[in-house]
Amino acid sequence: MEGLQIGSGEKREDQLKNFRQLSKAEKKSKKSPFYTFEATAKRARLIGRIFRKAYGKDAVICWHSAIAPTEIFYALDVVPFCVESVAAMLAGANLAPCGLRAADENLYSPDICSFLRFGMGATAANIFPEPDFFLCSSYHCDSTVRMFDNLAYLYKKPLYYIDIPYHYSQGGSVDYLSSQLEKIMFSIAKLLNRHVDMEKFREVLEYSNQARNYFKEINILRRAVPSPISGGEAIDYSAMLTNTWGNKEIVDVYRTLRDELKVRVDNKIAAVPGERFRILWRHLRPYHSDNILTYVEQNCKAVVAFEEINYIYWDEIDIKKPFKSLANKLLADPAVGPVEHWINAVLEIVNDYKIEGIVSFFHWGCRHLSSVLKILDDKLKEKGIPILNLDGDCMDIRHQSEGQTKTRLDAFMELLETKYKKQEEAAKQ
Amino acid sequence: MDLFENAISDIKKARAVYDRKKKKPVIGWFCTYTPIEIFYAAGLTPKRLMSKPTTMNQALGCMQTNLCPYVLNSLEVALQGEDPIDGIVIVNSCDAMRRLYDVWRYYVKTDFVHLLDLPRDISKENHEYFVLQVRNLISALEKYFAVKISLSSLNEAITLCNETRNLLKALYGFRQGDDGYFSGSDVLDMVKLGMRVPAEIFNEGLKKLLGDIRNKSVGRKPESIPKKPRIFVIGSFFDQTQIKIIEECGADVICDQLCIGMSSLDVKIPADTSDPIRALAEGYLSKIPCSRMINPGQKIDSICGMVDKYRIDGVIFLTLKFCDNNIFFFPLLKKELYNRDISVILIESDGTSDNTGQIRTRVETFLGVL
Repeated sequence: MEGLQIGSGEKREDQLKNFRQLSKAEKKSKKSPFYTFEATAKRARLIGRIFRKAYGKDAVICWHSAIAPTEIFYALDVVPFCVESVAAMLAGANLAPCGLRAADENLYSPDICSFLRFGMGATAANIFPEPDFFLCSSYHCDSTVRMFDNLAYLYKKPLYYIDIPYHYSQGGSVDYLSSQLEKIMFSIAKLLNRHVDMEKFREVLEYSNQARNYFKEINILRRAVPSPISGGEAIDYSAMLTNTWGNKEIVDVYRTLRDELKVRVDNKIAAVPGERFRILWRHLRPYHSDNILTYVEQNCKAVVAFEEINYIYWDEIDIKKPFKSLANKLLADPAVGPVEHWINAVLEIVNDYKIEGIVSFFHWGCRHLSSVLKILDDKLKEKGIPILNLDGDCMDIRHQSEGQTKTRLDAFMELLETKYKKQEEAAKQ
Repeated sequence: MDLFENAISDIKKARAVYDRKKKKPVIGWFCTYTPIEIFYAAGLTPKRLMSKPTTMNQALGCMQTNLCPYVLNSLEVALQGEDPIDGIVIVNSCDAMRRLYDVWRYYVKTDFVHLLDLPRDISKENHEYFVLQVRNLISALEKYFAVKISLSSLNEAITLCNETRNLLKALYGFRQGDDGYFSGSDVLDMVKLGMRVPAEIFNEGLKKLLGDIRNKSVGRKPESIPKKPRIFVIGSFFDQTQIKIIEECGADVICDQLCIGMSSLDVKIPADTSDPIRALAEGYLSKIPCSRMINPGQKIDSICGMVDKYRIDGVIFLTLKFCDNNIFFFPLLKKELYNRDISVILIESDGTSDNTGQIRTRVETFLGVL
């Protein structure tokens, strides 16, 4: 095959068949060792339902980037298909090698972020449901835009592109972004021959707010010592990137988690018995294996007290100003704009969660987030917080050395032990 | 070729005299979406920061290794205190550049560091947004350098830079027929020089060179030129070393889409308008799209148009390692060129001389099968 071939005539039914065949062939689907809450099971079922719905013959599907105003999709009855999130989910089921192999065969360089390579590869392997249109934003990275741009060109389907301004607090930025969102929503409605039902939109925004508020409560409960939930379980909620904002059912998931956490906090039940250290996990985790996080939490007894990816950084949406509010939500992302925006968020988390050490998982292929690690390291060192930068790859096991990673973690834990032992001794004297 | 060497030498001498006399603050820039006319209008001397051979000592302590070699190299040069500047404007053209802006502020600490945001498509709203960004750049320069940038000075600068672009296009014109006067790397030498020398000096030197070429009928005679494969080079930021290798392998580099080449010349800005700021913003945003812009069809069309126009035999896609915009664009371009029976090869480089042998081998093989 010379170059990626799209539109071979097989549609969603065939694509689902392809996907099922592949899943059967791999036969290694596993249950996460971390999942202990009913809410987590509910969430997994919901994500599974959204995924399966995308293969429906009559469903309208948008393939979108991880940073997207998904509320717009729910208001228009569009099924959100977040390529990066699906990639992570399928990596958890050991299906990453198939997509990555297909990407290699189609000349997508191993230097490209493996989430996006997987997206191109899964498309080439014809296991994703054919989209009706695409939507992506300029954040977090160049490669995301490139992938959606390429896919829209190959499928000959519309791409709705959101240009998120860099100078997030500058006059005009909110208006620039909100007018794009409004235009995009009405353009999608026109494309689908649907009308924008503002009443329904408001309802969806209410769900988004309710979910946000429950998640905010969850995050407050997570400040408790000992930590009521393991990072290995919490990180998969990935609040910043999930495509469930605006979904009615997710409200119940977060409410359930809030209630379950409250019981644990009230009864001082530790997610990691014998919790030694409280860790902030930055960026994502390896999805092809649970071993690293298991090692940190079960072997080293260092609980991942919080993950950057679950930080709720935006205010409630003002239902009366939906587009402006959604614009504000996108602009509040700490990764938007100069590095100080992000540093402030990290320092806030460190303070709120009594963080004693930070592990930054440095995903190969990610330029945007990794390029400022030195600045962040310097800032955190000023605050006396030890930091470990771990090289790895969330999707591609070929870029991951587990033995080396564990050795580095051991050294880091020894460092924490020495540092906090000295502090305890000093406090006693 | 002597004529080029002489012209370059004359321009450099004139520049040294200019620097001694004028003592204008120097402002660095990286990306060809930078409206450098504003710098001239502000009484500054623009200078594009180029990578140069150097050992990576400090830059890798500030940014990771799997990042654009141009960005890392430029950072290294700055950290070593070479190529001094009084200020810098970085365009939000890609992830590496955006984060270079942060790293530059923390570790290079040039007093004036400005990030010019750049949309990725050319809709009406994005034009308006870029106009606003250009206005903000003007305000920032006026404030820091205590100058007033008038509309008339902007129009004068537009005229000056249009002249540079037109002269360089004329130089390219000598390359693109069948005559084969001088080499493609000679032309890129000139384009590159034009990005680092004040336009008034450069234009004079280039006019003289063009006059010499026309009057003296220099170069090889058309009938004496053996037929060589006509090559189109596309890709990231590269210096002329890689182009020289391609030519040494026996190819004629007829045209390019490189930001140190023809892509930097395709900026159409009307002079003497009542709103030169808008003219600049719209002119730069509408140039041949860099691979970071959305709508790859537009870029592919422009590439295929050039292939036909310049009767190209083969395309060489030169990309810097870790340049996501380019490495993601290549498979798509290859497919389209394949459908049109146009041969293309991908060459990745880290921009250093370490892999020139490998590049030579790949180019020789490619030319062999053309």
